[in-house]
Amino acid sequence: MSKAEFTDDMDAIRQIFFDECDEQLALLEEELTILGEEPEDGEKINTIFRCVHSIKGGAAAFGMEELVKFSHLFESVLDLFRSGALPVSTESIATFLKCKDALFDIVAAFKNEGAACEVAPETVVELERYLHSGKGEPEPPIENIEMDDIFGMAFAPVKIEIEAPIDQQFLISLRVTTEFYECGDDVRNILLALRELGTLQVEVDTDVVPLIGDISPERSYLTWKLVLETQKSRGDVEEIFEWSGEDLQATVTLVAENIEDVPASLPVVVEEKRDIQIKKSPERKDSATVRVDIQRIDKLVDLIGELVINQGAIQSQMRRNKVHGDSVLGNVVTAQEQLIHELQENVITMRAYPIKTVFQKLGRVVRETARLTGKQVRLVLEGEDTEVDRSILEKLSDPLTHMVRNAIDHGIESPQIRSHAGKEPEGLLRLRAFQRSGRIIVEIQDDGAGLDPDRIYEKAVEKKIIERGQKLDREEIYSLIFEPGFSTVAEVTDVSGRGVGMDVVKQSLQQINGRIFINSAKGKGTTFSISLPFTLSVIEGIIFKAEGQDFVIPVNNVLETIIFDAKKAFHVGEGKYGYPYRDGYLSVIYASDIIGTSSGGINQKICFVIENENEEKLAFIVDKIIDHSRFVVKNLEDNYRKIACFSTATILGDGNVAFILDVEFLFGEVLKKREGSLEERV
Amino acid sequence: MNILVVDDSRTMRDLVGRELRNGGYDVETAEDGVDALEKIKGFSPAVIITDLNMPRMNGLELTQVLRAQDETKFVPIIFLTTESGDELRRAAREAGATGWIVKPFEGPKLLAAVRRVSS
Repeated sequence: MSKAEFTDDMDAIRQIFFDECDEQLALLEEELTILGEEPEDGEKINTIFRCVHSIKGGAAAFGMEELVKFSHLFESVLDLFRSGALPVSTESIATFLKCKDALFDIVAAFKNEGAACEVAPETVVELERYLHSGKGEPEPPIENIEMDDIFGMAFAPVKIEIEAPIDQQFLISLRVTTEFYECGDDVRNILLALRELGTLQVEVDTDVVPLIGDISPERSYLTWKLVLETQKSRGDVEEIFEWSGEDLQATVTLVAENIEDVPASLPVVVEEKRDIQIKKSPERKDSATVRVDIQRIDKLVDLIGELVINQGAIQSQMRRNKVHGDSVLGNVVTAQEQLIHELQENVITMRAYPIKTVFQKLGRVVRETARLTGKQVRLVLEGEDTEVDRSILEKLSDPLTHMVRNAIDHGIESPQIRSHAGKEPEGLLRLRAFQRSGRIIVEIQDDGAGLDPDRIYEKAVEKKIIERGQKLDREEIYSLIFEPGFSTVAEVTDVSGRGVGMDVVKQSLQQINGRIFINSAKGKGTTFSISLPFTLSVIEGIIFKAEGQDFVIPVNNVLETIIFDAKKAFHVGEGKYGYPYRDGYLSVIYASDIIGTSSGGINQKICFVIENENEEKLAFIVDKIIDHSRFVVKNLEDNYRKIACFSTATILGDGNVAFILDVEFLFGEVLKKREGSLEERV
Repeated sequence: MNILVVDDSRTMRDLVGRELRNGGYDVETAEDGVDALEKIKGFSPAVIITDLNMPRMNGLELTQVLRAQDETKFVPIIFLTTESGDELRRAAREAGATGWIVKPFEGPKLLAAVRRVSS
């Protein structure tokens, strides 16, 4: 390209810049005149900010220093109004208009090639006064702001090399997180950028890559060991990693300053870390740890499961042979049962991870969401060291992410609204985990606007989830937000939207036997409490017989067990029965109905009053109760295939397989099918 | 190689576009995030360079949308902005930005940045 074309080209763009300045200034004037009508409109002040910002950007590209300085000052002041630190008043609008005129004059001066232009000093003083009052601390006078400060570019003093540059050898160890790839980067980019600096040897360390079945697609396992010979400095090398921040762990070690001195084998280097990551495997304070492959522990859990089954077999043999529980043998077996129980609990805790791993990810979600919604949020984490079984932890991340987004998007108010309500502009989001009676409780608490029962009710009516006039207590109204279809696309914001509603959150929590409770006070905030089992590998349940087969029902769903009197059951409709219970009646489900073979239910003598997460109850009729025990859960989908009604199974003492009843399925599919709404759902 | 430049200022679009075209790239420009999403269809950029503060959809929102779409999930995104605060950089990174350059940019630096993410 010739020099002439170059200038022409630049001149044309310079002309475009002036045109654009005129457009922006006109827009600025227009927005400023109507700002007084709606001073609370955040988008207006943002548009104004953007006009000035845009002028500053172009001015910088053309080196128009005066224009950059003034627009920077103006922009800094506007930023205080944009963030809500200062309220828009008629007085401030008057100042903005003065600044707009000043900008106009400076632009005109540059347009006329260097006509001198001075901003009225009182305008600058006015702006500086806003800066002081907004930030509460004196701002350095504008004269001292260098161009470099404005652009965030610091020019380090240049060291002039007099001697010939020396070849150096760096040993670099690289490790990246999945986020590194998710940001559109690739290790190959880094390697090629390094190669531009000198000669590069690359070695990949695959030691930690697990067997193929255990590879998690969400993880990055490789470590790269590089040897770079270059004349460039360590700073030049490290600059290449700068963008990736915490997603890239790089250790740069200078091994040899003069290539000829390199020893035949590389020395063992004590690594000086540029380490930022804290993601180490869970550590216990003050005690030594051993790293064990998770597979080995899983195997141990399985083996203990077998041991429990064997123990059951011994006990059933004892009963069959009429060995008394008080006999010597009986006592030994009971003691052994206790030991196995303890062993099982201990091994399961070995597989537990602190909930910290999930909470840490949420910190990122909170910052991101707060930024997007323009809210100020302080995150407080409590009980990060609370341990949860790995199987649960894995499934907890998504629902929690969604709930945290929701809490910020819908719960916490904008700083302006909070200030009006007499609250701190900064909202509080507390994530808390602790153990209570054998379960893990995770709380998500915000001090935002709280749920509004009237609005929820109205919306549920609108969405045809309930009918107008239906009487619901406060808790029932709150739980409407978990109904499918409650949050719909029409009002999905770009933050908590993405097509996932609270119904999905609830479903995913139910999959891990979680329960969710809401506590809310209008104007004061909302607390979501999630109650989770410690593990999914063991459940406490009741074995019952139905149609000659053994089944297990989780004990925490059984409210009560009563003798079933078939005479009291009454016909309600097509295949529907009711059974009196306390002051009302319950829907009846016969075990024979869901098992398929029907003997007419003549043997059915026992009624389980079962209750689900929503405190809905029904009567489930079975033949008889066999035993009450702890069971090792085997996943049917993994071992066989998915069967409706029974998601899991266990092996009993006599070696038989017993299906574990999926209580939610009973409430959902079975009851709804009865009501003839299955077609609608499908 | 195709590059999409997203900036609400025409001056910036022209300046950046000129630099990149001189560097041998094919350039398409968009005025803001919404426009960018439209322009991406059929253009399939190998790299996207975007401003931060824009009307309708800003750079952060654009990045989040792009990261959520299968076709653009791994396309390198470079922020070109006058904002140089650490917090904004972190936010950009969290949204999924590959890198950033602070305005005013220098031609060779811009081209080096594009090379760095697209080798």
